[in-house]
Amino acid sequence: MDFDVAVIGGGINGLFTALDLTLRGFSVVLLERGAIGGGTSGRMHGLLHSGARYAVTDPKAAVECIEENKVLVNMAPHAVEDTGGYFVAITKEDEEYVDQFLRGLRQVNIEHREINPGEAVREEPNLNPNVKAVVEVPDKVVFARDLMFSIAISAHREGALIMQGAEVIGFNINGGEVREVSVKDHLTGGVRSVKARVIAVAAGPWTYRVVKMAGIDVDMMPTMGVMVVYQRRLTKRVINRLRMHSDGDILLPYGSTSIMGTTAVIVEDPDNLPISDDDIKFLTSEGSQMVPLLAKISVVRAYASVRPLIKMQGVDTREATRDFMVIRHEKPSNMVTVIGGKFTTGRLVGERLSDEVARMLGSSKSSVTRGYRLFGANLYDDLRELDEPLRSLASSFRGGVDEDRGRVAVLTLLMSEVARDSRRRIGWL
Amino acid sequence: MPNLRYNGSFNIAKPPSEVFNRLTDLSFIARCIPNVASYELMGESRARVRFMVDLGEEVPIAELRRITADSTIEVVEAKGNSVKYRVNGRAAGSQIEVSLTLTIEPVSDGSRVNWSAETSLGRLLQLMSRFVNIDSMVGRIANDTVNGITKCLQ
Repeated sequence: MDFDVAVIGGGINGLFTALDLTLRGFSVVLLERGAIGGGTSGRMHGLLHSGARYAVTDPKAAVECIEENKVLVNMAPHAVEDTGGYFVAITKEDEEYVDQFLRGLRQVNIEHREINPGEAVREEPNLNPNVKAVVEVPDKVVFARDLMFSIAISAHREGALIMQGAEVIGFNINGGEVREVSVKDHLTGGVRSVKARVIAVAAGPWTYRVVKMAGIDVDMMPTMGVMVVYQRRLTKRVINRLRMHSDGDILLPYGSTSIMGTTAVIVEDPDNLPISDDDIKFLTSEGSQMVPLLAKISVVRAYASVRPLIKMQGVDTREATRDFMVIRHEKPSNMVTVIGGKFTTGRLVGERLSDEVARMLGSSKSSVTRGYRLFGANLYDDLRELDEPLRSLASSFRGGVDEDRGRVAVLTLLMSEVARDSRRRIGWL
Repeated sequence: MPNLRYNGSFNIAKPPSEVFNRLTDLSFIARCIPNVASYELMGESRARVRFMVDLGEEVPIAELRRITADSTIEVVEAKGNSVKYRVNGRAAGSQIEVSLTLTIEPVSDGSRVNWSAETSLGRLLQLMSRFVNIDSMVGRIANDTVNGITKCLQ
């Protein structure tokens, strides 16, 4: 089976790229070595950025974040909780940053409101009562796996094949172009071959391994961000420390838990992320300055994700990792790579990467994902199109005690069907 | 990567004996480090200090531009007109060691303090040198720290 495009990587960037290209009419196969969303994207902190965090230091990223924040709410309301967010000044040094922060918000046009600290504490009773200044911003919480499964299911319904357990292990390059992608099929242990006119690499911290196989010289330094999950939800809103961006500056309500993030630790291997007790103590200590009760509740677990620094030809390292960068390689000439990006801007990354791919394929079709409603936005209506007994099982959550928790269960079930159907259609079963 | 070395000097309008006493007072010095988050004295000559380090805009990853360093600062020698500190710590998951020597000499309107620092970075922080000019970055941090101490002394 030949495809127009093989997308490598099943995180937020790869998924949105697959959806975008499929909606433009291309035949697409997405190759993911593990499970959809099983890498960095499934280990993010849960924040759908308002852009406020970048308003001072990176206005371009701030503008992208606030725009995509609004787009994603419309595309996938089921995967977003509109919590709102507070930026809170705790110390005198934090307070000195307030004016600069407000100026930054105004410059990038992020809606915000200064809140009287007493009012903020009434709204958020677990907030540090000595908080000195509070600014409200439109931060939201995004349920990562719900969103990614919805994108994968949508892309598949539009015609894309979504291959899980499909690890790229090499490229057959001839005449300066990738002719075939060699894929290890982790389900059977065999090696498969995939042919595509264009190869789009969106493999996050594993990008350097993928492009190296195509003979591209690349250097990479992974950094690990640790998140700690606590037993209780302590706030209604996302609570950010009002200071220059640094480690330990965000606490999120995520379902019934709270998540504190993040550290910035240099590691050697993106597959080996050792989390230390010191990381957990540090995050708890920083978080408890904003919400003192955090120091008294149990830690449920800690997890980590990786953000890489990548250096290769055509990349301005500084620009690329500030935001994201699409690189069309000279050799192989039919390969294009995206590096950087944030979970919040995943759709935009997919659009820009797809623009480049479309150019390579001689197409002028534009992206339509901005106004696209993802599968799951009206979950129980969307289920009508499914076959029995899948529909019957998935629909059984509706109206019952587990309707909310059932959403991710249903999406997981459907994701499994997508993976199975993709294998059948590509002939790997 | 070889150790990084920096030096400089500053003048203080205070007599050398007063400057010396201040420089050997860890409870004073700990507060003078820029962006101190917390400190804890562990006897007269040791303190555990947590402070934020501005690695600066040249670091391409936003989360790495301002990181927290956990360190133990020790006065290892204080005699005559010279004070030596040893700093052992961790930042961004990597070890850092700094030896700082300050020598005080009298000048007409007070004291002149000559300082020299030798820094050893752990393997992981050394990886960053492939992406940024780490020598200039650490040099700037050393200068910022000494400037913080100078401000305090004045």
